[in-house]
Amino acid sequence: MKVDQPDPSAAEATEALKNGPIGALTISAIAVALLFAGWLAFYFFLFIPRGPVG
Amino acid sequence: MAEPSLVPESVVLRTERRWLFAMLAMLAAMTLVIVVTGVAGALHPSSNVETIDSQTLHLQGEFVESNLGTAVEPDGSATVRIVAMQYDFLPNCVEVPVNTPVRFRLTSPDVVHGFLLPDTNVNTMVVPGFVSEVNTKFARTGEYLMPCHEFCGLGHHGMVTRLRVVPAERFANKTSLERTSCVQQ
Repeated sequence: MKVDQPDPSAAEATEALKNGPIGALTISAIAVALLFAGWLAFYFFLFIPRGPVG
Repeated sequence: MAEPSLVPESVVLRTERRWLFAMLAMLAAMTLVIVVTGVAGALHPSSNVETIDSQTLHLQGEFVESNLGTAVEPDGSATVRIVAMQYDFLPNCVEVPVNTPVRFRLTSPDVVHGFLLPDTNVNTMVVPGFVSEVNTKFARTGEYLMPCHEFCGLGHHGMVTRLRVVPAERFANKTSLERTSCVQQ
């Protein structure tokens, strides 16, 4: 993909990442949170209402 | 020699530690949910271990043909006895009462089959030489497909039958010796 902006310099990249890859962490956290919420939803709204089988 | 990281090592370690704690917290929460609901609701897999001679089950015992189908027990619950075989269930249409405890007892004279009921957690294997037993209760009336879901041979894809959940009143006048199914309907 062609990008008009020039590559960031090492100094700019270091400045942007001095607190870690925040954006990537945010996306990862959202994805994991959705998975966890999905697990809980399946467990409590599908599995439990279907009742024990024994 | 590796290039120095753009992200300070202290930040990497801190981030990894936080991520690890978050994952452990989620794992703990899921384990807690499973254990608490499992203990409180007595949830466990169907674990009946009962053997039967698969060569003579059609000649004697509870799986003779005249005893298959739905039986009403003295306490009002229903027991359904089914033989799963290549490539059909016998009886191949089962009728059970709604909002009533139903106990399914199944066995197989030939190979391993599967027994799965929609809208319930019933899902078990039917293994020759053993009696599979599962208990459930149906919350609403209707007709459901009851497929074999363990590959049992070339005709496996056609091994599907029907389960009808009907009003409990239909079973009110049955004696404990009567066996019902919906095969003829």
